[in-house]
Amino acid sequence: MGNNQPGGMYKRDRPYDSEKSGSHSRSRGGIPSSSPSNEDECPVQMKIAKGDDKSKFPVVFKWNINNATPRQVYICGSWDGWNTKIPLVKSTSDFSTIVDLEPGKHEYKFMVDSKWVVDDNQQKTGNNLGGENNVVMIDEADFEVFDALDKDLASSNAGEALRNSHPTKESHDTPNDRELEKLHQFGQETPTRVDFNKAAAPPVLPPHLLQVILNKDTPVQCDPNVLPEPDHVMLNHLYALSIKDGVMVLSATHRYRKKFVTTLLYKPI
Amino acid sequence: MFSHQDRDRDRKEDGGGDGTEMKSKSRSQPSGLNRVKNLSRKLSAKSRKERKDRDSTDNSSKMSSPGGETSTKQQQELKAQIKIGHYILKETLGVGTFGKVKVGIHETTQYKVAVKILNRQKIKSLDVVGKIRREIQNLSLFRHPHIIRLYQVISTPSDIFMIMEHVSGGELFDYIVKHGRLKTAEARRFFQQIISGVDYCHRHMVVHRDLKPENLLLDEQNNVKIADFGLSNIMTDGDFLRTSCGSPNYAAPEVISGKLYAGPEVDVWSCGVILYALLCGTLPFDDEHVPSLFRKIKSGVFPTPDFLERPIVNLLHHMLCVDPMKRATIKDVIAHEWFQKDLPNYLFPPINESEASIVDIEAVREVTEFQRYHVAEEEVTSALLGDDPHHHLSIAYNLIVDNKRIADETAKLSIEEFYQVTPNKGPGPVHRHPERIAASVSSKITPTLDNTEASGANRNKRAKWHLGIRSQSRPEDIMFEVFRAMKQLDMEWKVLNPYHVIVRRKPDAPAADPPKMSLQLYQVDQRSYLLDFKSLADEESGSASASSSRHASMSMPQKPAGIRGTRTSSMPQAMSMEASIEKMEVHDFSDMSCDVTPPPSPGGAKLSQTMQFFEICAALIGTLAR
Repeated sequence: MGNNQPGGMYKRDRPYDSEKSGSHSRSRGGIPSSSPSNEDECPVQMKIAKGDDKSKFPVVFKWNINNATPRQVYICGSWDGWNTKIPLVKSTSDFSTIVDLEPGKHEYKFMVDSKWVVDDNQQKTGNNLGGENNVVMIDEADFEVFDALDKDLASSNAGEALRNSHPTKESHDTPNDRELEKLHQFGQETPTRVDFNKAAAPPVLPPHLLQVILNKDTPVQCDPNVLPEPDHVMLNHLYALSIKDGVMVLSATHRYRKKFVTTLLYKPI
Repeated sequence: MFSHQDRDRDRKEDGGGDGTEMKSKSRSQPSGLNRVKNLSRKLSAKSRKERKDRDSTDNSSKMSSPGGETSTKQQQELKAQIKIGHYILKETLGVGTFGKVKVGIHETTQYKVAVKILNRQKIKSLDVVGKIRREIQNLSLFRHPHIIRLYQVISTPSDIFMIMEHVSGGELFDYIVKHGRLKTAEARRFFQQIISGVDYCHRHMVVHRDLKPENLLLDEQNNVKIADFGLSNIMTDGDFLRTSCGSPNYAAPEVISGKLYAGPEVDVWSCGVILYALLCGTLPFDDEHVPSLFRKIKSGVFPTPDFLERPIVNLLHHMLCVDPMKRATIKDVIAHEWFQKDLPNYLFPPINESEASIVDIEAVREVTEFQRYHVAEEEVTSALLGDDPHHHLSIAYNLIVDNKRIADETAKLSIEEFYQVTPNKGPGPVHRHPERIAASVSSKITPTLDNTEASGANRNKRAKWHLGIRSQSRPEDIMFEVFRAMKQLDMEWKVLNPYHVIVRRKPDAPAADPPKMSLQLYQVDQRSYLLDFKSLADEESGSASASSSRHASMSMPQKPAGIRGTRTSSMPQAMSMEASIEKMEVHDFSDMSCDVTPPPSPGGAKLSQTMQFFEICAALIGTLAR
């Protein structure tokens, strides 16, 4: 639960009668809650067009319920000059809402049952009236989902398993060889006997690789250049004939557009 | 019948967060219903509060400013609701290990979706970030009537929101528990939908790897939706998969043994287990003692009750075949007589059909009719053709198209039911089935290259092709020889593990990027090993190839049923080779087995890379043989 800050209470007084006379630009100085520093941080309060969704990003704000359940929780922030109290929606264990914010630094505060409070579990900063506000930094990388996941993956156990050849902790996410390859550098170092002893035994040859398409009989009705359709795991592997009469014969099948191409090389030795 | 004990056991045997998540979701359904009632009560109370707030707001707005726009905006912002993107979050459907699933309403179309909320800190500490990434990556491009749709993913600093298709019927697992074993017609209908979805995944080079009734959801019309792609993976040319994942009862023998597998064959096995569960109400391989369960799976022996018809038993045995090379393929399942009965046309559309590229003009018009979007049809069309699939116009369009397709399917079912009700009325309904069967059979026959008549033809083969090179030395000695030869040829390499190396020639210039290849030592039997050479495509061409293959609607690669034999021929060690002999130009072109001439520049690049691969292999083999 947020602490009460006796010195930092914002009281939203009713605006003065003089402002009722239809002045279009209200003076921020008239509201005690606003501070010069806030004005400096938001020099221009432009209204962003609704269609321009990409300039703002959704941010989740939560107020955790600890002991007594508040009747109502609002949030107010520097993103609109502390103008609007946004009500939070109650759930099982918290009140929460989502506010669309621009990248950068934003200060905010909660009003819980008419009392201004800060969330002690979130980042805080001092305000000009001697109290504290919560503060949040908005980084665009958090809103591109694959960048966010890559960031989280790098600091998880799976990420550690990727970086270390001997991971300290077993990971649920087994990295595949293509991911592993990107983390290594080319060199000319030979593994030692110790490395061989530590390593797992070579894997058993998958039976799929023994289905050689060039060993299949081609139906007589078909063009002899047309081969059976290969399984995807057979592609890119090297097949060879035994060396005879001083000639080495190699072949491989690759995918090309929506078809497959088998190439043969006859090489005298 | 799934006994209570069986159910608990099945839950426990689920690995990782998957089972836990589904378990929590199932258990929380009753509380979810209670929550809905409480929520409605609270909503009525809240509306009274909102009225009071509105009154005070009106008073303050009158005193402060005469501008109506300001007061309207303030009133809107005072509504207690959560909005993410264009969706308003409503009640909670369930709570899983990684987060909640809530109902979402699209604010413009009022379409209902399911919003899965994943807490980023939780998924990181539970070490499932890669799993979430795979699910998003593989699922977001899929459009199939029996695969759950992922419309949009929104990332925030603390949570990730997955906007998914909303289905209200619960899990197929609960359906089987509730109804026991299903009648043949109903089981077949479910099975046909499942196979259609799995075939779609495989054609787009994605293997699911966690197919089980808990991951098969049901919608309002009792249609199947395949869900939970967290263990799925993209199949890459030339690569095998090895991760032992999925639930033990539904896992193929090679998966529980930790062997390499291609992918589709393990999904076929899981589908066989599901088919058995639909028809019998029990599992073919089941035991509380996990080692005993594994023994049963590896033996492939399962009980066949008397009430199962002969064709079904044959299909089950073909799908639950221990040898992956003899196991039924998806094509075999589709061609089976039992599967073909009462098979709806929409499940297997013609191969050339690509729904995603056809723009539905009526749906475009519906998007423009929304007041919220003051846009013209051209803007909707350009949004669809643009690069951003998360554009809000594209999302609205896709939602409308999906909704329309569901309605179309319902209409089709109604028509079929109408014909079934009046079978004696006129000759039309009687002729309908033979035409459909003939059409589907003929379409299946034409593209098949394998022909029984071919068995009579005999080619005069001087020698047989074999994979890589073989040796009977000890594995580390083989690899030491390989490293010595590579050093001698001035190659460089990356050691992924001592038996798996990535090799390339040393580049002449720092900017040059010579093609790479992978060397992997395999064990053939107790005393012999095989060194496999595999070409690795460049990153760009690789990704382009993968991208094109995933979007193209291709037929399933055929797996000819070949006899598994041991290769006796090997590279003669005594053969001497000269250091450098230039290849003869004539042989290269005359022996190309490509009958179509590719365009010069991309063909040249591809050809050059293939030839470079051959040159590296020839040099390495020659040096090893010396």
